[in-house]
Amino acid sequence: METSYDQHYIDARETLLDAVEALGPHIDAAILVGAQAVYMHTESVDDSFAVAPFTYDADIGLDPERLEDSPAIVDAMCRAGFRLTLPPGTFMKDGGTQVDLMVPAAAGGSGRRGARLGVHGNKAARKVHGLEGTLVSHTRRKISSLVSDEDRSCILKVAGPAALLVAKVHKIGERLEDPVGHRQEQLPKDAFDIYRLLSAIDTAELAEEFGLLRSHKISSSVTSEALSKFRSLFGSRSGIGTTLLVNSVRGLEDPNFIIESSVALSQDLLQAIAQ
Amino acid sequence: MAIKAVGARLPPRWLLLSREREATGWSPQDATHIADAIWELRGSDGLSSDIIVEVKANLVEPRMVDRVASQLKALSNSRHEQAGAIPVCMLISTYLSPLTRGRLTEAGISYADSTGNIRFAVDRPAVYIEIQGADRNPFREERPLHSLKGGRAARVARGLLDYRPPFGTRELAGKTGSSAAMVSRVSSLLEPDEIVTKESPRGRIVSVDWEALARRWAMDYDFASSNALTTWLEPRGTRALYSRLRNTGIRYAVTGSFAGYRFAPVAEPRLAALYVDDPDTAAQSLGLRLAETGGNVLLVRPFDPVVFERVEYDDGITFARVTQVLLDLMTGPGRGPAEAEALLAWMRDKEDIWRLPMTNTT
Repeated sequence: METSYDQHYIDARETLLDAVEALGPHIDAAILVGAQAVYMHTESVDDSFAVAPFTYDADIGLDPERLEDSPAIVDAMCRAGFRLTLPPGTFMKDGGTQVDLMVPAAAGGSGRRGARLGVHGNKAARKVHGLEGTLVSHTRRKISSLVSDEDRSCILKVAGPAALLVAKVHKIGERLEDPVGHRQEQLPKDAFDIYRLLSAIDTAELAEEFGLLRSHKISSSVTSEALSKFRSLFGSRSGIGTTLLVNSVRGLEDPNFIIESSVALSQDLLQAIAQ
Repeated sequence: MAIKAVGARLPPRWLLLSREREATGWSPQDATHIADAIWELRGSDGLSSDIIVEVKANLVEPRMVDRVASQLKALSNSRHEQAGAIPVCMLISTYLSPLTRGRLTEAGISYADSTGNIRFAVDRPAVYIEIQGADRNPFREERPLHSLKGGRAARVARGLLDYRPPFGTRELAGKTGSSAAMVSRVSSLLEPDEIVTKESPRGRIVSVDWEALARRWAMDYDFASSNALTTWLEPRGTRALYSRLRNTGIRYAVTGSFAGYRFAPVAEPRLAALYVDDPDTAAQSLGLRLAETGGNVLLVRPFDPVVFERVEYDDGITFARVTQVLLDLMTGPGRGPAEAEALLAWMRDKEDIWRLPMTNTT
């Protein structure tokens, strides 16, 4: 089916492909995370929703253990036309689309914000709590340009849906806990991205991936934390996550259906994981 | 009429006379009931007997015989007290079934009906007449229909909508699993408004104004109240429901907005409506959960299995016939009527596509 994409999403995909090219030999350390990774899993249900896939940026997770010593990440990015606009980890190209390089907090060394990446320094990537599962669960996928008649593509690791769900729950949780330090306007969209994953992925499949995340030392505790947050955010009709989700579809979808559907899918998942 | 029919069969020089009730000077003490007629039977030897007659224009069912008998017996007893002789009881009706006649005989009540069934038994003067008339009620199907309510009328109405005239009454009866009498009754209801036109009173149906018929039927049908509706949730949306429907073994037919949308898209449908035989079984088989609010699937137990007749298949999905969908939208909630108007426009334009030829295969 011919899908018409939002221009920001098309631009964000171009920037992702630019960044992957720039990272060159580091490609094996890179894992696609964030909204673009979510949409890789939810293509099958995209046209079921009135809310089209939408993102302004490209989020790339890095596994420090798989990074090469050269080229230096910041240098390589700058040579490809990116500028390190907001250290650590935020690069931007002229034209405005942003790339965020991130390292799971548990693998990022001792610093508070910047990941300690040895020869690559402390400014190349930002430490993010909640991304740990993406090191454990990912698959290589072909990522193609969304520009029509453009056949540019790359093969990149894409984080698994449960790992992405854990990361999104942590993101929403942190922003809600610290409303002063974080911008809130992205939260409804993040809630809808979680709902997309719940709708698109078979519950048993998600539950199995959660089992994998919980069995690995590096992702075990963030996964358990995320499940408890997920329960309180999305497990009931009155949960804040459910409310954020309804806000994201205001005027576009039947809010009652979205509430019932999200709560049913969330409860199904929690039940499947508990079994 | 009955008095003549019985009188004509009496022996020579016997008489059967109708008495004026007032002229008898008899007023029953039980004033709650007065006999419909009192006859007098006079034998050739001068003996006479009164006949208390009850007339029932409507069908007398076997279970009603007890009541009729006790009414007649009460009148007979009251007459007996006043006049001395025990009068004979008699029931007259348009039609008396074999079972009803049997019960009347057991109760010792004479009878006559307009098809010629007569049993007339009097002890003094002694006479016995028994004549066989019809064993099947010839008036039964001739009762005029006043509406298109109910499954039997709906089956004929759907047939009139679905098939392209001309066709014979029996032909349509065969196609719709109806009796020819029912087709005639529905046709008779619709002929005065020229919704159905016949070539002659007993001839073939030569034209059906399908749009007028749909509007007429919509007066007697309501999607939400004629059928039994329950609302369910498929949390992954109607797309997930459709992929289950492609593999299900249960009998179903999609109606409503999703079915109308195929021909006349108005707005993106949200609520899937499915006819199913048993909503609970269907919900279980399709993985649906009952929803008080926010449901996206309507399971509909149909008023009649006619909704499963002449279904249409598209992309692995079974849809109710467009004529059924039209009625459901016309009388349905929400955007239904607006969607029905769009569907009507499509149907006016594509009559040659959706109206079925009546082949002689039945």
